[in-house]
Amino acid sequence: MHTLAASTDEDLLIANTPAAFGEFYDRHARSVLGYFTRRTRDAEAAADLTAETFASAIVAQRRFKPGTAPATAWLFSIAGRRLADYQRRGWVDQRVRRSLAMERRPLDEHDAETILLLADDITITLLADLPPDQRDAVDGHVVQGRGYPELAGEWRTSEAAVRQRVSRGLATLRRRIGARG
Amino acid sequence: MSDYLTELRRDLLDAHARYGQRSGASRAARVLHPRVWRPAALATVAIAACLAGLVVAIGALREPSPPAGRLRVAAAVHVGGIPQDAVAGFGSLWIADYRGTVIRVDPLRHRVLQQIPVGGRASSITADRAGVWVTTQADTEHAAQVVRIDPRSDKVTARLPFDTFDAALAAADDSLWVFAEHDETPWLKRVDPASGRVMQTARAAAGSVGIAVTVGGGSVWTVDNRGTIIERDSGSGRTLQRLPGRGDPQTSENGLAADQTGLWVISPASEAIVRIEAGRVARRIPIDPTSGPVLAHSDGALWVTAGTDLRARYRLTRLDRDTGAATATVDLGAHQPKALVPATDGLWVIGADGIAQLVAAGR
Repeated sequence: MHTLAASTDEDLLIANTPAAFGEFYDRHARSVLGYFTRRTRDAEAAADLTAETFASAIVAQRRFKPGTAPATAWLFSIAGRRLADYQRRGWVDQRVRRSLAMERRPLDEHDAETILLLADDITITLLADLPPDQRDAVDGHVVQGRGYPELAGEWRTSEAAVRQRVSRGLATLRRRIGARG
Repeated sequence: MSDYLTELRRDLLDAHARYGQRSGASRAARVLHPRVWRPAALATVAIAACLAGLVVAIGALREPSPPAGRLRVAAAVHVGGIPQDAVAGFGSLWIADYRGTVIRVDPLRHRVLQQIPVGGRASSITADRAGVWVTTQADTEHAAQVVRIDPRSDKVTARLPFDTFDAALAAADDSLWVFAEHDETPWLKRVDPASGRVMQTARAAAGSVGIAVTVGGGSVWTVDNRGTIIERDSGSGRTLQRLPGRGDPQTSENGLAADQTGLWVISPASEAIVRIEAGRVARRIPIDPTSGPVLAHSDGALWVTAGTDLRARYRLTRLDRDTGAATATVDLGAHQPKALVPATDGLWVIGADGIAQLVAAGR
């Protein structure tokens, strides 16, 4: 049985179903978020640009023609346009999200903090030097993107405890990386 | 972060399902270029890496280096809007305003003459004998237009649709060059300004992104997001040389300056202004790490801006073209430069905040 996970990016776009788009999103969301984070150094802007990019991808998906540009190039062309818009205006347009009746999702402080870490390659290097419980927590939640309930269940502890380990790990990384400009 | 991305995923899939249920009439229109003309194919062009660039003032014949001397801000004009690009022509300064107008400024009396609506977000602007040309973005991904303004009436007299999101413009030698930007299958088109017909098209390799185009000395130069520079003969469109790049993905439009013998390119990522002559990098002039991406070449000098939005303080530096030495610097204040336009009495610095400053020789 052919599963979404076994499909190519191009096949996922051509399929044009919510499930296929979800798989495509899962593969590329972090890359797109990291792309914007490195270029804006602004977690809110990077998150908004990511959302606007994928919303634009939903609208533009019908134009995607296999065999022209690879799907990732297509996606990052859209990202580049959203970035160009942002650089021209100085703020992130929500035009496409509004057209899709999507609400803007705000970031909490924790999300903002972890997004900014995407801009620093050094983060991964420093991760290895964290105390084991903080390292596992940051790696599990920030790098791998696993949720608190899942991690808490695996480690047989409370979600609050996992959150605390992530928070302490991020604080330790911040101290070691230094002040953000 | 995973919470945010997880929630965003849910929102996107809901939106995808809703979008799929909409009727075709209510979906965002895919504007197709009506193809009133048949472009002839040119040699295909592969495009590699990225150089950041900015505005170009075209230098003509080789000029003596300017004397060292002070600079000053001789005038500041509140032009308003969200300036993106600017050009001098027909006795005026023309500024592309991202809000959807072209702002015409009297450079001698230092005042705004007209705000001309162009029907879309104005980005790139250039001028030739036929008038002033500006690219406008539309709300859909592939519905840019190149609009012509008649300077005698300040009216839009032509609209040329292009199947792209945005396009950089350059004009010289009775040709208008349109370079697709942020397009997954980029191209360069030569347009006859009188008829609006596309005379030639060169297609770039998929995956590259067009950044900037300029003309000078019988050549048309393009730079893409990978830093690859391509020189073509502006008469035949034939590719003369191609220099693969190793650039930085951060891109900008205004960083090329062509003259009779070559091209200047500012590359903030490599902290240098690069001189291209005879198909190779002839020189590199080191620049401040905060420089760019704006560059101009005028009166035998190179002009480069520097500064960051962290401190909201910018400056303009004049460099000796031959030695690369800084000969003068002037403080631009908090007005982030977007474009540089040579004038008879100095250099206009168009700020992103809608303030245009005239920099002239100081006392």
